[in-house]
Amino acid sequence: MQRVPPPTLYDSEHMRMNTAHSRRPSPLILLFGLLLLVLVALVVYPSAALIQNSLTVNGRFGIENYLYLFDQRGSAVIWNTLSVALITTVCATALGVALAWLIGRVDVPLKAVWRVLLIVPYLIPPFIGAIAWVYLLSPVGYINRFWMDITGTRTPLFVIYGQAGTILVMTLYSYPIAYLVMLGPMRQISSALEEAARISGASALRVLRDITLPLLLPNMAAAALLIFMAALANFGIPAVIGFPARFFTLTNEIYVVILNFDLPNNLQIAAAMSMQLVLISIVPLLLLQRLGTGRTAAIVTGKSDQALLLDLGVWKYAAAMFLALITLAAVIAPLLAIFATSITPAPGVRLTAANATLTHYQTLFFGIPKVPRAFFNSLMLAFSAASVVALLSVVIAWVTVRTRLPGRRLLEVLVMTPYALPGTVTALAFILAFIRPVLGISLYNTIWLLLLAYVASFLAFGLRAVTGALTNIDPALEEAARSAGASPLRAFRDVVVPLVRASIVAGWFLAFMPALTELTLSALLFSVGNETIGQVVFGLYQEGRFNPTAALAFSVTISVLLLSLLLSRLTGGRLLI
Amino acid sequence: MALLELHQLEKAYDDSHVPAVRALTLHIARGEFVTLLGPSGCGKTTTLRMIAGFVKPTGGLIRLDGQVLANAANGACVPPEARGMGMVFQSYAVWPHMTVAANVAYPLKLRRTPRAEIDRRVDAMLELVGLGGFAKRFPSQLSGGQQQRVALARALIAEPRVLLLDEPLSNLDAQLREAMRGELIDLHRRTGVTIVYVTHDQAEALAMSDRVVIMQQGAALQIGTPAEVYHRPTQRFIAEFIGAANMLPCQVSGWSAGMAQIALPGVDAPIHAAHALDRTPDKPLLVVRPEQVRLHEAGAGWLDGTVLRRQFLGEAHEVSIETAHGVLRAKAGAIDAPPRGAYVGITWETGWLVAG
Ligand SMILES: Nc1ncnc2c1ncn2[C@@H]1O[C@H](COP(=O)(O)OP(=O)(O)OP(=O)(O)O)[C@@H](O)[C@H]1O
Ligand SMILES: [Mg+2]
Repeated sequence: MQRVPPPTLYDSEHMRMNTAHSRRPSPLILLFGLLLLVLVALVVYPSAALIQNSLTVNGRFGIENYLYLFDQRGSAVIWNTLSVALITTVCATALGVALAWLIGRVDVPLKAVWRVLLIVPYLIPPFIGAIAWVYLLSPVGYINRFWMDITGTRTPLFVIYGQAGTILVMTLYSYPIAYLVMLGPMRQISSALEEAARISGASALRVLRDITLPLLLPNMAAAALLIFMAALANFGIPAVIGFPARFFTLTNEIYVVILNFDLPNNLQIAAAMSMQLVLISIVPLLLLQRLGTGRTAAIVTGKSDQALLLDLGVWKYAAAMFLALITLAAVIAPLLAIFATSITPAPGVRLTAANATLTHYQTLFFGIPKVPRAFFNSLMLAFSAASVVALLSVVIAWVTVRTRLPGRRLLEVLVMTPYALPGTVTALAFILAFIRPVLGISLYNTIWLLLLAYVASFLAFGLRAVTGALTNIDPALEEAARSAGASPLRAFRDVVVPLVRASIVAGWFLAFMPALTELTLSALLFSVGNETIGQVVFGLYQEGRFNPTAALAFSVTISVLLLSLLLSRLTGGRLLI
Repeated sequence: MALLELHQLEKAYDDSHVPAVRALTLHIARGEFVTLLGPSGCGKTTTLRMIAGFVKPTGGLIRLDGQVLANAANGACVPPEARGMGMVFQSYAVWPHMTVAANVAYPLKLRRTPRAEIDRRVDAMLELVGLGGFAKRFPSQLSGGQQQRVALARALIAEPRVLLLDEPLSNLDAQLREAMRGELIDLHRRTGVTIVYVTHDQAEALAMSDRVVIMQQGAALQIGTPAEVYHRPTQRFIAEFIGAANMLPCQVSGWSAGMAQIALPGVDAPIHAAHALDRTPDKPLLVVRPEQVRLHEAGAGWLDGTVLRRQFLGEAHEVSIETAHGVLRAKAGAIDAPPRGAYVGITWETGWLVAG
């Protein structure tokens, strides 16, 4: 039987004919135009401003800006950036893979505890982790003091400032990327593939080397590239740990140049540096996309396969020790250090049961006006940005998944662009684009500029959540509603929307959570009165307000952790941010 | 002497109170083809995996060639890689990141066999399983049946002391399954390897095995040749599980020359004798296979009945006949089977008695 669908907005085939033959533009075309306009304002225009400025010297075209970095610093900054990113990538990937293997394939004691603790570093804002590690490993940090106490020496064990410390902290806060990317595939590998190797004569470790890891190679490569991009883009960790040792990566160098008002042409030079950073970041991005198109090796599973856990014998206690060490370094020690510092009366004072005080918390919320202001601003910004992101995501996802509009791929590319750009670059692009009034509206030094930058940066998170859900909905479900007598709009409302609702909420939170503690964009786009939480933590830290910084960092971290906990409870563990 | 001995083997998984396998004693001779047969969940895979070393028994003993592989009494358990066995998995478990040759060569590589010898033996093995010329291919470029052969070649290459197969044919289509069945029999004959084979397909078990172990709820109900378990089932469950069977409640009126005299209620005619293992089964049931049933003119048999249904099977018809003793199934000729509604008389060649 031939089914002839009635003319409808949702039927793209028909829509295309319709637009070809009628003079009135269809609502779909209007919608598409509107979306394009929004994305041009958010992405195309700032990018163009960035490129144009990078090629402008004293009002004329020139490429001198691109030479500044090398003239001033030789290859040091590039080298710092690459070495930190590369070493972090190797260490964090190896760590994440090892942890995913232990949790996914091995029978380790207390697994439920490790599973929760191992993702906590993913939830703690990295610059707060860095501050915590300063409390632990600055020359007078807890670990160094403890070391000097027990050995009686006056030389600290290890001072965190500089390259090694940056790498250490970055590794601790980026391994969760590899861990989360690997955990799923690790558990999906058919255990028969591994057992076939065991019965062939391979020991458990040999199986890991010959079978498990080679099978996961594509996933590992993807994890490594994601970590590499995150490390290149990271601003907070090198800012906290590199600055004191005058160790600069590109993001920090750009930040310093933007704020160097004595340097003529400083924004244009920073723009050129940003372009240099973009050029470096594009390499892993392209590799990642190449990887995405090549199909991952089929991991065959059959009905008889059971996901059995490897029994390590007595070695499982060693594995548990290792997990304990990692969670200690990434979660427990940093949180304790922040908490201890936040209740210590003053820098240099030893914390005792008698002198512990909550005075810094009081100062924070009643003595420093920008702190309560920042909480209010960040909540409003995160809430608004997440809502805009959710709305745009639904519309864009719907256009890209359910219609055949010729330009729909372009929308996706535009959304992905700011996601792929380091935050420092996005911030500078927004400065350059909106430093002068546009269409008579001046956004510079207002909170609206931050909102725009947040939306641009986090739109990709929301879109991915909704697109994924919409793609997975079999069109047959809609068709079933249609043959049951529902109009297309009714079918969309009754069948599709309920099915993607959870993903829209997920997309909202995926934008809300990082926006709440955002630092990189805020550090460059804030203005007095428009401070954000991340910027204020960083600001207090830079002002040297040691203990209030800790009180604020602790409040923020605990709030974020509780919020995530609540979220994963509410969604039955499905949503984890 | 037996090559592989399972003695009072038991496995109780932590999360269930009923053991998955219990009190299983089985002796397998060198070169024998033994099949574990039973319905889903009866513990076949668990037994096989205990032999392989992936599951540690909670009771009993496994011995191979006199060497103890697992002993629940002292917790000893040789790991799978040290047992010198080969295994074929239901999902084939062919490694997708290695070529066919690399898959097959892997057990030899682990045994530090010289390169030249590996090449020679891999070639010979691929030839044996009919995959000559496929050495350089990757598994994704092979059909299901070809992957199956790779798995077989890999399991056989290191000359295992025992070859374990867990439903290796269940993922293949019917035709290929039949062909592979024949090839497995040939392979067993040519290599002389000792085989423990798991299936829930009774036709497969009967066709290939030297001996069949019928399992139910973790226990071995009967161990015997395919002919034994088919013609002389020890229990009603086995009679019903293997092949088709008509079950007639009856009485034993006496014994003569080792055969029981059967009386069916409401039937006056003296009925042909039946064999039995047990002389006084509880609530005796007469087992008559459809192919043992003979059809006659109405009134000429022991029972009369009406043909309810007639199915054409190609080589024969299967006829269902409604009688006073329930519906009986009979095999009838491809051409001369009685049509639906026909009134026919029934006798049978011989029967078999089990407890009901
Ligand atoms: N890893 C396990 N943990 C707990 N129970 C298990 C495990 N593996 C199997 N069982 C249980 O043990 C019983 C026997 O399972 P087994 O896999 O041996 O059955 P099987 O005869 O191979 O069945 P099938 O024909 O479906 O493969 C089942 O009740 C099953 O649920
Ligand atoms: Mg099984």
